[in-house]
Amino acid sequence: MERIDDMLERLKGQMPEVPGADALTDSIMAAIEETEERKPVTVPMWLSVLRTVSSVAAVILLMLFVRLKNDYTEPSENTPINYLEVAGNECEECSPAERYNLRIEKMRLMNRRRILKEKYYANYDF
Amino acid sequence: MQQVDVDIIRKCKAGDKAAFRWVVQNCQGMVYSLSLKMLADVEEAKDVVQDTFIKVWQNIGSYDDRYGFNTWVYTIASRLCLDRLRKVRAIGPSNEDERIFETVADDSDPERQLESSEWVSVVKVMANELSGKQKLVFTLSQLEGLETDQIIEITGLDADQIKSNLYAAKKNIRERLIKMGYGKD
Repeated sequence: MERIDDMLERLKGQMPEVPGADALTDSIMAAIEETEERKPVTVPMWLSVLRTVSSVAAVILLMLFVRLKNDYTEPSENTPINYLEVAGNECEECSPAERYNLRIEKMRLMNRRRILKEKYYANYDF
Repeated sequence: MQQVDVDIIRKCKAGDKAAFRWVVQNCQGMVYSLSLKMLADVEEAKDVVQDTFIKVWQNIGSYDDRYGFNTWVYTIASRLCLDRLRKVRAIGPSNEDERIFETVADDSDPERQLESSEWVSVVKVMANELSGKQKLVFTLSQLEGLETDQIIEITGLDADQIKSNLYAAKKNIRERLIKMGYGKD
């Protein structure tokens, strides 16, 4: 047993010589230079914040646009417009009497337009 | 083991590469010694030396002057060694390794310094069957000759864990060497 202990004692603290120590130092320093060259460019804090904020704003604007586009339905040309309804509903704050007057006014306008149309077409012989 | 001057560290922190070169020249021996004894492979040991100093350079800004620089370097190197041990499959000792070990064991010259190749054989014969932790504790304590306090700092293990790992490692090595006929005087 002493033989093993003696051997361990002899080995204690022994430092093997580095083979090609100078070359190893050079290669370490070269590797450090190389890693520094590959190091990514650090972006300033304000720029990264600006990037994030503008990205978020762009996404919000896009979502808003999509939503507005979905909400808006273009009226079809063939859809008949009930002027009587529209005239009455146009004024939400009006009293029923005022709404009635509006409808009457609208009807007058429509009649005038119809009469004008009839007169116009009567002058032409198709 | 030569301690690195605080001024040199300060220069390194400021990005002085000439100062860091001096650090590498003066500390690569101890890192090589540890990694060679841990990995039993000259080229692997050199790779660990390189990786260790790259990490030292990259993290020198976070190094706390209150702790020993060499201990800090040892900590980085020992972690890298343990990582390598996990990745690389250990190759057992060859007949040539056993022959070299016999020569070293029989040599009674206390001044004799072992070559790297001899260290490879000695470590392969002695510590091939040890776990990573046991190998690290055994290497730091028995082969590098570090104090328990330093080993605690390097490994992050407590005194009891170091004691038990060292005991297990020594027991394993003794049993192995006795089997090989080295127990008899």
